[in-house]
Amino acid sequence: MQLIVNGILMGAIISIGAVGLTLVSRILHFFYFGYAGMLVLGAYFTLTFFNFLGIPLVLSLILSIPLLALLAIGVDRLTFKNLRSRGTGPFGMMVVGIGLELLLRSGVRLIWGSDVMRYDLPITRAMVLPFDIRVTKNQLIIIGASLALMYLLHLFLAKTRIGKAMRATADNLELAKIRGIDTERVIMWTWSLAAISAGSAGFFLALDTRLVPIMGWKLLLPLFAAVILGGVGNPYGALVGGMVIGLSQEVSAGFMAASYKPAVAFVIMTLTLLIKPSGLFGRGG
Amino acid sequence: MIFFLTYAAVYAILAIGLNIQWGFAGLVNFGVAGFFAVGAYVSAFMTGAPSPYHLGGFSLPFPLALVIATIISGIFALILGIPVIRLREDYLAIVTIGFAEIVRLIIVTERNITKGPYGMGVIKPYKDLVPSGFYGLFYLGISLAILGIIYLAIQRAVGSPWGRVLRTIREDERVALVLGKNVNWFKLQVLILGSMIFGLGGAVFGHFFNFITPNHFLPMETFLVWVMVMAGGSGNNLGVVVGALAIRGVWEGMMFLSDILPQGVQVGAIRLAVIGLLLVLVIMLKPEGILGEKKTASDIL
Amino acid sequence: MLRVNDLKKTFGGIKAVDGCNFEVEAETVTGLIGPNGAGKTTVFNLISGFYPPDGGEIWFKDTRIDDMPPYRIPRLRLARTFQITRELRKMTVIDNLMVAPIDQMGEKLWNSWFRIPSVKHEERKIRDKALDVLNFLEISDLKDEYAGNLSGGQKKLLEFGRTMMTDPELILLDEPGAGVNPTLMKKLNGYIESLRTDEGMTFFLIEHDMDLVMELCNPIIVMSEGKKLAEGSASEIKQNQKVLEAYLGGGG
Repeated sequence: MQLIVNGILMGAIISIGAVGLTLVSRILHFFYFGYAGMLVLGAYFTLTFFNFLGIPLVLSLILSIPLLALLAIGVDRLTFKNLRSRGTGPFGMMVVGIGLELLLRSGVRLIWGSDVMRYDLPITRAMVLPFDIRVTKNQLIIIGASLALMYLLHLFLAKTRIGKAMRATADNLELAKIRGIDTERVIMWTWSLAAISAGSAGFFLALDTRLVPIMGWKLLLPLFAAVILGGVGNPYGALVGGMVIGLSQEVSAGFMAASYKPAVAFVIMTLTLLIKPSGLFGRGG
Repeated sequence: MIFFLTYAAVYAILAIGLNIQWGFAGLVNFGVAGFFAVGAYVSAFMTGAPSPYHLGGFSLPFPLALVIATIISGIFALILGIPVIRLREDYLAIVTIGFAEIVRLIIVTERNITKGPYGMGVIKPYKDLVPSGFYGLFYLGISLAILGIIYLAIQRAVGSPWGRVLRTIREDERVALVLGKNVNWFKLQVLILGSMIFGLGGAVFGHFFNFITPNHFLPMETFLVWVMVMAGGSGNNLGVVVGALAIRGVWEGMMFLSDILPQGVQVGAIRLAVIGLLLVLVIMLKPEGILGEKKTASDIL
Repeated sequence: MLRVNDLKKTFGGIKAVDGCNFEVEAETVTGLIGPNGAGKTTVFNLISGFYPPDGGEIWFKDTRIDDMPPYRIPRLRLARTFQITRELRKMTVIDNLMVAPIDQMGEKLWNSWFRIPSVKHEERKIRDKALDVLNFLEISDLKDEYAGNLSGGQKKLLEFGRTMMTDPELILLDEPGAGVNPTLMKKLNGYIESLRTDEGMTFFLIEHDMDLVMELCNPIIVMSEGKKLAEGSASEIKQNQKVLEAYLGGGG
């Protein structure tokens, strides 16, 4: 039972992170490993604002996000835009993304050091609920905040003009261009949403556990699994996918070694690609 | 120096393996580290003395262990390859990373077999036959000999009609199909052959380093080999060997930086950054690498 | 030689091929014409096996081929070219030709390591044949040039030469005249005709250049909206009301 709750917590974190990743994967048309950098920086920027500058925690997160967005757009201008105009395929862009992840990770190590860090928060005791479940206040906040953010993102995508443009572009890039949608603007917004998504996910993970430079990479692989499971480009698929992956990983610890958790995500991802490559909700690939 | 050269030779073997897969056939394999690990551990099991802490103790002779390690890597490649070979490049990349990580996680977790994170010792073959002062040179010789054999064999293979089909597949799969070539079968062959070479490299590595842990087989190793192949010239075997030497040189050379730089600057992080930067630059500047591919009409004639 | 029965193919709601029936007789140069969107290239792709039909059958020399994977089909001596040439850009012209013959001994890895004399022997024969083809097409001087550096017309000749390397009985030509200057086109016509009479090859070609079609092809099959509209000799087709309407009405 505890495992299921852990699964929901992990699922919430993965889900909120996966939404941004699925949009980037589809609209930018490649698997962006540099997303791990955005996850990590989301956590570390917040750390800097909160631990070192004394800004309240939530405000720290909110301040970090535009920084992330600017960074992502800047990187895009420097690299991917050029590659797009050259017609580089998804593989070439992916390799650049991997290079960027390494650069960002090393940047984190150089600036903040390799040691484990934590947010300067008082230690909270876990509450004991029925069925012998233990949750901390922070964990409940994470789950709640994730759900709230997901709802906000949903509203954004469904109601705003740019949101609809993004969905149209995610659905069919060529058609969107023909319809006159400014794809460069959509791309900028995609990076911005990714910043919200990744920043929050990174922050939540750091809040629940701790900060280490490699946390982005470790979270990235289950994120990709969630994206592929849900169908690349489908934000709602990403939410469901995230929950499934989170639950599977945590519940698996009940009957196999905990160190196999990432393997569970990989196996699910591989099975998805072999059985129904477009994912649960279609349109992938 | 001998240590460095032997290390470079191991990676040169890996680079040739990846070169067949990516450079000649356009197959994206990000699971190099996984096959590397399989080869290393299998050879360690085969040659080691019996022990209650890990699998093995077959005490087989070194050459036989190399062969077995190579073959078992090939079997893994066959099992992985059959379902996965038809995926598009970036999907194949992710799945192969997944495979390599699963292999590594199994090694970490199943401590009764592999001694997990504590690592396993690997024997020095022929230790008693060679005076200890010369052993390093002796093993370097073995490594270079193996590298040489692989190099020649693969040069022959890629210059042959078989290699020509690979290049056709890399250029345009549809044309290969229209010319009657069973593209998936060729891709599978390449996956198996390359992975066997990775396994062989792993075995050579194990007996060189004499101690293997799961941390020797992180995704970073795969990225290193990829940089070697892309920077050295995809499709050019000599180029990738040079690339291996160069990148290995950069990697080790950076350790010396720690002597010059002020205290507290992390060289490990800088190494990561340099590799990352190389990956970015290689794509942005010159996808063909330094030496490029030779203009080969089939040179078997 | 080639028979298409009630062939159907739909792409996401659009019926590209909708109950198409025709036959191509041996030792002819048969034309396939029709307005844009009539389904001609789709039919070619179905014959080549790039995707399976949603209905109907394709028969080639008494063998059913619509359910075969694409790489098996050339084995039956069926070759094709592409509308936009697909030359192997980073390989030399002669390599482009030498990769074409099917089931080469040297294509088995084992053989290229352990049966070198036999492989060398076969390579020599293939190389000689490639040189002959280059000669026939009068482009021998290009043999060591990278295919990517060739002019458009030369690329067309290269693709054509590639089909000749496999000694096919039927060659599908997808718009051989596209982007080719008239002089070269006349030469191509000559090659096609001589291959037909001397070697007994059959040609089935898609073309938009009416002059070319009328001069070279007999019979001509007309497709429109995924079906065969008419069939006959050049003069018959020119006077066919339905054909004229299809072209003038449907655009093309």
